Amino acid sequence: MNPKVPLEDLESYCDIFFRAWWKYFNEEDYEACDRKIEEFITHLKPIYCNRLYGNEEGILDNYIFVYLFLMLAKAFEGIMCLVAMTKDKNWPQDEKKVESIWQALWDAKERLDVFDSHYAERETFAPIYRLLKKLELNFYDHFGKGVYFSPVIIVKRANCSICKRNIKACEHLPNNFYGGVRCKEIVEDMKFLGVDLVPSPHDMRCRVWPWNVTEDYKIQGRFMNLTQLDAWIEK
Amino acid sequence: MDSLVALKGLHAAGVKNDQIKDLDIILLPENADSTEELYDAQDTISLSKLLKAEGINCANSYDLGLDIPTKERRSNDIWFGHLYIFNDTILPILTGAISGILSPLIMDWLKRKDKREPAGMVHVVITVINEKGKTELKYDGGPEGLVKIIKTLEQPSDES
Repeated sequence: MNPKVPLEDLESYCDIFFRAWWKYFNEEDYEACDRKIEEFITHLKPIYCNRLYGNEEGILDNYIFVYLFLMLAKAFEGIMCLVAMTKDKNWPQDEKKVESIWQALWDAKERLDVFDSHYAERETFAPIYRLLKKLELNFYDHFGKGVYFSPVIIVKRANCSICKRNIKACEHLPNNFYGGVRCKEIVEDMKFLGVDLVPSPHDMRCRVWPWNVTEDYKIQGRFMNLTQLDAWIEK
Repeated sequence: MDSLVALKGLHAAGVKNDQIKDLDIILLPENADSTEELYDAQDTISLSKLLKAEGINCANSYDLGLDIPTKERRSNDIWFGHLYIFNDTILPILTGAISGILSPLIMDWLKRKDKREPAGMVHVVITVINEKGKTELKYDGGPEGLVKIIKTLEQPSDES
């Protein structure tokens, strides 16, 4: 299977995608934005999943490039969802919508951060960060700083996704790329100790919403997110 | 190595002084000085990998032959456990490695214009043992403060 985007065109293809999406976004042509994202993901995802450029030395860094742009495209997709969900200015009155928007906001921010941590294109994305920050502050205005669930876990054994050895024994650092593949810590055995309520959580999606606290102080909510933000790439 | 007697948990778990005598630094379980079940702090392993990559002669619990779990608190805080430094010439490299891990947290603090935005803290105990004796520091605070404090440990004392 040949990749639809040849290796020599990869950088310019990604650049064209970003510029086109940004132009449509500023023109508020959201349908065109969605089309661009879908086309981009359709072309790039098989390259990463099926290693369509081959596995030779010197090519592997291109998979990091593809991975990061796929994360960027997914972040853009999330931003499109946020635009649609916040179109109705009364969204803060809709509890379910508030929860969905909060989740989509942090999914988009974290995917953008993955891209940003490798490319440091913060200036280029400044308007997007401002947009997301404005929405985040909007939440604090309406609902306060919030408290969050934070689980405490005892990990008895975790392996490295790259070399499959005990994560404490190898040299691979989680979230770094090795041979074009991102290193992850795979938990093999764990014990759940409990849940804390904290002001600064690892996962902002685990926010406690006032409408989910009953009169006898039972709290319903998400305390942990087991889905990796890049799980969709490897499906 | 007398000061290591304080690390009851480590000795109770079977670690001998001979195993650590030639090391520059050991990255200990955060409750190494207690008699409870030992557990590593969540960010200790990344720190030990960074130090080894820099050529530092260091060991984590696994390297000392301990099969102990890791306590992961899913907060935005960073937990380094107990760092036991035997060779203080490595402090600049340690500062660099810690700064690398803390950089996202430092960015969060610097960008934080609105106090309502959450910002993570750092938790660590650092013990430095050299010919002048033992210096111990327990730190729970913002990331920039820790980097500044370790830098002060790097500086030679008055008489030198």
